[in-house]
Amino acid sequence: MSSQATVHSIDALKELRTALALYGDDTLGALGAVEAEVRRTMRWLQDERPYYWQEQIKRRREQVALAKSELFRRQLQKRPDYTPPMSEQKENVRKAEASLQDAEKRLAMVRKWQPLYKQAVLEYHASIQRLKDLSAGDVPRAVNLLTRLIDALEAYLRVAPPSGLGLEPGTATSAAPASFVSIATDILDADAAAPADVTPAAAEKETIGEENAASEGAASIVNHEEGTDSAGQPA
Amino acid sequence: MPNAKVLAGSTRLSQTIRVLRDHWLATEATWTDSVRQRFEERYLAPLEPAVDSAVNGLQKIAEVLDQVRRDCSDRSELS
Repeated sequence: MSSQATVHSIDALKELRTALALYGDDTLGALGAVEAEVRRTMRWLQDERPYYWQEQIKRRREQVALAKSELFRRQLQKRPDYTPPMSEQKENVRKAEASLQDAEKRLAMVRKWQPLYKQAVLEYHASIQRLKDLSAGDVPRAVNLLTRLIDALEAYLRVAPPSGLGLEPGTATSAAPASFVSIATDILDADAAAPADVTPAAAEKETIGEENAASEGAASIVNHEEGTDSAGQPA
Repeated sequence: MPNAKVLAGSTRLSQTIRVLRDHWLATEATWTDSVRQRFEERYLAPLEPAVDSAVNGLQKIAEVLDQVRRDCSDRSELS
């Protein structure tokens, strides 16, 4: 791979920058929507469900008591020569007791799930943390880096538009100077060394530096397609 | 349904990384220097395993959410 920077389309870089920015937003959006669901379920399980099932248990105990009293009333009507029909009352008692048991089982499930769900959420957070960090930190930094690279390339094209190729900034085919590689490498190195140190002011200062360097680099641009330098002399 | 929402999120993560990969491949013919390789190694390569891990985690939490809703809901709430 040559030390000569080879970027044949600034537009392609711009499209990549847009795609990266959208990627970061989409990813954080998708994770955010899931996070909302996870939190909603946490509140539901920790706060709402215990109250709901305790209330249901109270209500269903009352229904059991009511069904049993109906059955008892029927049993009291029993005479040696007459047995009132009780199958419906018995069925009501059976249903009310089953319903109460279900509520008690559900409350037990809620209590069982509370710690298990917390653990599952912790594991879920661990599984997405890397992607979240990359999307919130590295992806915007990559977008910023592309912006600076594009700015440097455009600054270079403004200072020394390659002659004889009909190049236009933005749609240009260009072979940028070796100093561009150096600029980009410096940005990547600086980013790798101190990713948190990039402030807008610092980025602006660096971009200005890049533009100056791009101007200097214009003097040494080599047109590979024609084999001439910027002054039209053979390379 | 939490499961549906979470699985939709998982699908979205897979789709967005695919779109980004396509855009990256589209620059292959027009950006061919050493900076491209470093850019890929520094910013793009870490995304794929991170997405795989997240998709895995999403599928697991989707199952848990479904199970929690099934176990702790009233029958009338599920219908």
